[in-house]
Amino acid sequence: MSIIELSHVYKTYQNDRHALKNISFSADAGDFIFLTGHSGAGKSTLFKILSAQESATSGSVSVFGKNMTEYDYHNIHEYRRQIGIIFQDFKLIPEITNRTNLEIPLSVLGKSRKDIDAELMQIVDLVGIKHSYLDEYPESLSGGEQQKIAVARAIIHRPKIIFADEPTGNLDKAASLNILMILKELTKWQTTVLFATHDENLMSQVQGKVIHLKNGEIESARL
Amino acid sequence: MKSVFHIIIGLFFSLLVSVLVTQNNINLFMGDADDFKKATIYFKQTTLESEADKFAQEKLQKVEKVKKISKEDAIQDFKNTFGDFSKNLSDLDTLTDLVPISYEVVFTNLDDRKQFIASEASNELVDEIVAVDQVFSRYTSLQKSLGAFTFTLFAISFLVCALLTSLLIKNMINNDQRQIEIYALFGQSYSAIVKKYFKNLLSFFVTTAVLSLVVVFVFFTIFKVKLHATPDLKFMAERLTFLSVSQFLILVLSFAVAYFGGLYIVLKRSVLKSFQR
Repeated sequence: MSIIELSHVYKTYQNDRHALKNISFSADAGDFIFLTGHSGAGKSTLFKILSAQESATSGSVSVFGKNMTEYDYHNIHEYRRQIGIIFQDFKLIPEITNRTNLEIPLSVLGKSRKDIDAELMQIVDLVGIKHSYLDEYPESLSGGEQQKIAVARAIIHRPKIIFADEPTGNLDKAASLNILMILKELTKWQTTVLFATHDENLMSQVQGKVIHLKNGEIESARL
Repeated sequence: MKSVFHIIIGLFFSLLVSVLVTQNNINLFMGDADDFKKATIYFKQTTLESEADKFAQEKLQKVEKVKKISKEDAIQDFKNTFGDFSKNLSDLDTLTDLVPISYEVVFTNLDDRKQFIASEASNELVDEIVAVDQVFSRYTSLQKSLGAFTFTLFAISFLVCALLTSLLIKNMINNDQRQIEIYALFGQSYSAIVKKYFKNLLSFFVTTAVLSLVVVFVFFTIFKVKLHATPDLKFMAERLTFLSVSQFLILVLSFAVAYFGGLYIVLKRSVLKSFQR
């Protein structure tokens, strides 16, 4: 059974702008899917729908076999705890340290201090974050370092699906490749990764399915 | 921002406590309204104690308070007042003959008191009924107006406090909006976020209430000590009262209802933004 299933999804904003038109595709556990397209093609809107930040205007979106319309404010956290999101604008909280930012997905799960510390150090080393950065605040770091924190935060709780919206946009080639490899590695443990990018060099580094969006529609797909 | 919020709420609470303390003591400056409901019934020398008691039992049923002053009590008061001089003034037998039995009565209202005096002043057992002259009754209405004024001031302060508290909480939560949104996106539940704010603000509320009370009490004590040091105003200092436990509890409970009611409404509206799609 597909872990993600979209069928004839439309998203129309109040000004009648169609952000998504007739999107249909599915993804299985362990799939690595590149989502490509220029700015405004609909990648971020698609991520917002899949991460339950927005709802589709019409069509059906099912994740983990459950239609997204079944979630409301009382139970949406159950869904969000199973996914990891890497935001284009990082969405780090500036008032708290990088360590506390990283701990968010684990603390909401109610993990013990000991478990949080152990998992934190593991992920920090995996993503390549300097330990000294942990007790600093996000704004004291470069864009690239902040992006690493955002990536680490999205995977620290071992989610079943990762939505990565341009996760390498601020990184140099070596760091981008490192993040790509980490995310690809996670698919071995049946994690599904949706990776938005328009970096064709990066796409050539790993094998994966490709969905190309243009003006809110799927222009081509290699599934 | 949060420390400013704490200080402002603390000041509001202190203001409410101060207004209530003022309300408690306003009578001191205008005399006691109860004085106008009081009367003292002096029985004739010839009236026996049993006759006075029977009179009191029959005629003083619907009153607020009754206190009997027997001949012995009156003699003791006399001795206390005049000290060693009382020995020279009279011997005990003479005093017993001179001092009448009396009853101090507080009626439920001024009209009852007037009616009682009119009907019982000529009773054969009664020598005299003494009451505060009605010439002062105009002060009663002034006193009532002042009481109503302080009550209105309290009610307005309370409403303003409740409203401003809600606005401050709204402002504080709006500042945290981004944080709430991110926690929500990473799986924090709606109820956990609401609980977290309630927990934080509960401890803050308790601290503020206790600190405000302590601050107002310190100022109250300083004022009382200064008043006590002034010979003419010593009697006032002795009668100054702070909040009773029940008054303080009622104040805290009503402020808590306004505070947490506002918090719940603001939280629900603000936090839901991060959960709606």
